[in-house]
Amino acid sequence: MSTRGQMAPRRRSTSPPPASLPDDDDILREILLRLPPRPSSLPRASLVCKRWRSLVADPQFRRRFGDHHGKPPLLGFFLEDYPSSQFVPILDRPDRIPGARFSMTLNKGNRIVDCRHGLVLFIRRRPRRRLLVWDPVARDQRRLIVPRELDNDLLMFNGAVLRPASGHGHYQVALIAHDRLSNHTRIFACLYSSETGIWSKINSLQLQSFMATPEPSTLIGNSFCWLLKVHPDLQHVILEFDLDRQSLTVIDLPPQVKARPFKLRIVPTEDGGLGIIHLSTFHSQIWKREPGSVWVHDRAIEFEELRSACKGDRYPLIVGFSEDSNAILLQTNSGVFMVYLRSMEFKKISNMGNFHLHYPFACFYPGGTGIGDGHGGDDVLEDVKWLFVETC
Amino acid sequence: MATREAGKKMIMLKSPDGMEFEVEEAVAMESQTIRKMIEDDCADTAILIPNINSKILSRVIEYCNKHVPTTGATGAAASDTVAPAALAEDLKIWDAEFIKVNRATRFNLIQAASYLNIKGLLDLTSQTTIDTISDNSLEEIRSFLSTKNDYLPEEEQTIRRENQWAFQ
Repeated sequence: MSTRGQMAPRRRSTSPPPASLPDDDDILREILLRLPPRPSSLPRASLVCKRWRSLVADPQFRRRFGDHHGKPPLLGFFLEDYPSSQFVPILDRPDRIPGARFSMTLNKGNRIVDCRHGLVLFIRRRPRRRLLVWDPVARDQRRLIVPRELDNDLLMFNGAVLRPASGHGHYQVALIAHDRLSNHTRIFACLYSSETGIWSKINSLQLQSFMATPEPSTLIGNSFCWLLKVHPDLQHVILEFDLDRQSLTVIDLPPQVKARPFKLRIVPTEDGGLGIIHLSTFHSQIWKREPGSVWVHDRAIEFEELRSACKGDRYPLIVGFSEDSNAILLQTNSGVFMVYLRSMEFKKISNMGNFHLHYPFACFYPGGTGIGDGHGGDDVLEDVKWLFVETC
Repeated sequence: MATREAGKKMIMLKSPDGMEFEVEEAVAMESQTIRKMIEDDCADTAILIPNINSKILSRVIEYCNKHVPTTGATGAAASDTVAPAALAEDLKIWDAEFIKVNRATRFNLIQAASYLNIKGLLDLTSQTTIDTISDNSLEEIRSFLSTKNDYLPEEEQTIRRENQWAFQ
């Protein structure tokens, strides 16, 4: 007790003891639930004393902390960037989590395809087809073997990941597969649940020949939606995978929307329905899908202020969308800007000039699990170190 | 049961130090704990509120009086003429004044709000406590809440190492 330096408790004085909180974990828990949701809150609280650490490390407390605060804070972005999917933090100190904390070296053939609810999804092509679900905060990786019927080198993969609202930490992974030959047109989809540990039945859909687009999924209600480009004129359509029914549907876009690459994103509308944003120079149009399968023009957005903040003559490209913040990310010559679609406020998040797709990473950062839990240090994980193997 | 005005049911709350408070049932039912007692017919005459002294109980009643929905007696006059946003703003200002109490009183109010299950009061008291300490150093937090650092130096180092960025 005598060598704590700055952290030494104050010497007992002769004045009356200060008021103390009632010695009741329920009351302390109520207070700690209201700590700000920023990432440094719970790690700092867990260093106050052992009792605090034990309270904030409790999984039930973490669930309640999330429920109390609602949407998690956006910590930064993972970049589609070989050989590692670099993490770019966007918060200021002490909430600025260094890239090295969320670092993973990838083997050749891995690529990031989705990021949601604190999980990152990779697809590995070699040596064998695998999906990799990474929880960067928990430093945990799960490898998924794809269903045998789809374990075929002729198939192209895409995927998406989420944690269901009532899933108590469980996750689901959607796998989309299609033939890489353009004259083959069947598309397959199935859903993995970590709760049951099995893949669902594979559903498929006959489609005009198409090209996949690199943009990740957008979650609309309980459906994953992706953009595809359909031959012969390579116009965009939306592929919807309904997680409840595990069914696939193709939705045409409004005929007016003819977008060039990285000028289109699927976004939720204000009431949570299906919408798209179509960017053209520094203007954009938002369309929403109404009941009865009708597209309605919702509103036009001008990025005039952003135009003046951007130098050079390259027009912006959409490189990301944050579902939690309802904000798109625009790559310009002057860097990457985040534009909030409701308020139209924007902020620069990096000076990066190179084109990278951005995968937003939002979560409530926990307060630790226990002393000596083997999670100390900022080690770099390699995907050869599989921690868990799950099979179908 | 006593009635002060036609249609206004009254209820008696007793503190352990022997004080009695006659309050409208609607006001008392701001406490989910008391509401359940009333709904379960356990509150015919008077309700003893254990562990909450008369000084704190009177403050709790003051809070409930202010926050009872305006169909009750206290806010009835305002509800027809004042916009909801203005009422909310008025409550916010009132809350800010109400919570200007010393630490011991605030901690007692947290305990009372927790026992009586009054969500608004628990939010107000807990949030004020967190707002007071959240930008402070660890040592200031411990001092404010009279909490002792019970970590060994090496344990403390281990935890700091886990998330070094959070302490910079």
